[in-house]
Amino acid sequence: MTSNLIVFPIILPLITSILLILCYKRLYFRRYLSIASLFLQMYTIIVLTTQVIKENTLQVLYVGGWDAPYGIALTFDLLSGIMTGICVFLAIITLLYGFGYTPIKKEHLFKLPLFFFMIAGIQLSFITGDLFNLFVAFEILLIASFGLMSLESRSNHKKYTYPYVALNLVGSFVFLVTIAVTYRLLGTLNFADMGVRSHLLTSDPRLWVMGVMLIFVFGLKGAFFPLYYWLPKSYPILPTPTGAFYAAMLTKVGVYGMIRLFGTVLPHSLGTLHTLVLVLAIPTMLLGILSAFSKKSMRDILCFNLISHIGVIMMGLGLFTKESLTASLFYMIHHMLVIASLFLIAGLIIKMKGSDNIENIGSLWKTSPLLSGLFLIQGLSLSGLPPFSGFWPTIGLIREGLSQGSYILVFSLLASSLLTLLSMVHILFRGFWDTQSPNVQKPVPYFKPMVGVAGILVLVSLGLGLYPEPVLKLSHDATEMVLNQKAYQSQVLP
Amino acid sequence: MSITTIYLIGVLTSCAIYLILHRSLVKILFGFGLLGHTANLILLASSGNPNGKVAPIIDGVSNSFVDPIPQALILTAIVIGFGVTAYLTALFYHIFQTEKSSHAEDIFPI
Repeated sequence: MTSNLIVFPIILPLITSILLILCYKRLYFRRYLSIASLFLQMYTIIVLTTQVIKENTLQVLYVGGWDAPYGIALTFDLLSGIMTGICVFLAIITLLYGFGYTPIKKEHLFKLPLFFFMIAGIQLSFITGDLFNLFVAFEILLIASFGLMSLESRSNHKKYTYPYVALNLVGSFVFLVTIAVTYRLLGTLNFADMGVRSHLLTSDPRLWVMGVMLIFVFGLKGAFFPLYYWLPKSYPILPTPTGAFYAAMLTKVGVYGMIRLFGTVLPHSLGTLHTLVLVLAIPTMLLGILSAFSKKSMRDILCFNLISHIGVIMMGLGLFTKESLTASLFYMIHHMLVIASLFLIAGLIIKMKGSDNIENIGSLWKTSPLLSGLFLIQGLSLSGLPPFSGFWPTIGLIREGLSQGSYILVFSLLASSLLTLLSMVHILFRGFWDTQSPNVQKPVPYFKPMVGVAGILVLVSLGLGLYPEPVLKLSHDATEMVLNQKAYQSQVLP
Repeated sequence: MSITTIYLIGVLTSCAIYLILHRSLVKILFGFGLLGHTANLILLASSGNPNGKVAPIIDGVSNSFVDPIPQALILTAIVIGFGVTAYLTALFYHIFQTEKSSHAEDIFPI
């Protein structure tokens, strides 16, 4: 089913960012324009997703009218729908919050345009059906994110963008080499055509080399075990609204790439590669969360938690059954909402107390009970306790891990979940309940609606935990669509 | 022809890695530039041995053409490389201005 609507999630942010640069003097108009553009984008995504659900087929667009293996095909399935939808939702939330966080006179003129270029890159990487186009999408979002990071961080912190830039440049180099290897091996870069041709080569060792290189590329983006060093160095230098968006979306782009390549494109019989992902998942889960205990700043602790939970998503990916992938996808949705809201809450604390160091904030429970309540809910949700949204995917992963007999994995998952709870309780005790704090100050007034914006996010994730049925079904259907390679190939290739 | 390209790729990659691991920011910048060009050469090598092939223009005489796709990919990669190099130059200049040094050990003390 062909549909021209597919380009809108990509070109709307591009047009918006150009408009935002052009009308640089009308500060309030820029803010209205950016929110309106995001809502329009949300509308097109909802229309596309309902079409996909109703017809149970992909939406495909052959750009420039060139048929599938020759030109670039944009494909929109349920997984793309979920990811693009959450991306736009989080963009709306973090932008609205950011409007309260930064006074309008102090906002850098290029902050909004760069943010929209980054969204364009993210959306293109979720929608494209071509490996080289995926590379281009990654580059768009990376260059925009480099720019945004060095624009938004404080002058003496700008040097910490260098580790992020350097590792991602190495990642881009390896991605280009992977593309060259793929093209030499399969003679095509279109996902559907790659799928058809790689099925003829399932026992070829060169296909495994390609797979390992892909794991490296997406692992670097997604902060997998030996490659996560850059993340806790660079994310905390961002102001919290932008940091929340980075933490929620940018690592998930790498995880999405893994799901797409191993689910839809490469043959499912590459068991060794799936085992490699599982082996990397264990240290990612444990080392990430253990490092969190050495940190005092809330944002640092959240960054290490983020790494650990990427490991949880990897576990579902490595087990590679329909149920485990469903659980992974659900976990990803839950995690994007929860980690973003925790960053936003940390931002509010910085506004109130001037710092997010848990040694200094002290007795927040007395001065702002609402904020403490929001943090309590999200902290428990992050560690996967029952009534909250983290519980459902975790129980799914444990059940799947036990039925596969991988007890070490289940043990690491439970351990990382327990350690997450401990690190959240650590923040709660020191930052919220401890009355012995040396410098208890009066709360500084801040823009009240920001709490409301963070509250919306908390309510959404609370709803996800109390009534998980529709999202569970959605992620189950999306997984089925991703894994159904025959249907994907027949719908993309004419 | 192919084997020469492969040797060249090896030499360029090792030079690029040597430069990236250097202390001076300027050399790091050159290292990343060189790494980008190495990637382009690898992409070029993926079109196969060019011996006895001609440019893909149909003239009715020759029937053995060079694959044009990798060249189109290289063109895109070069443009992206420009952007990244421009950004890195600006970032390094800013670091040099704030830190008053272009040596990695002064900027990131252990």
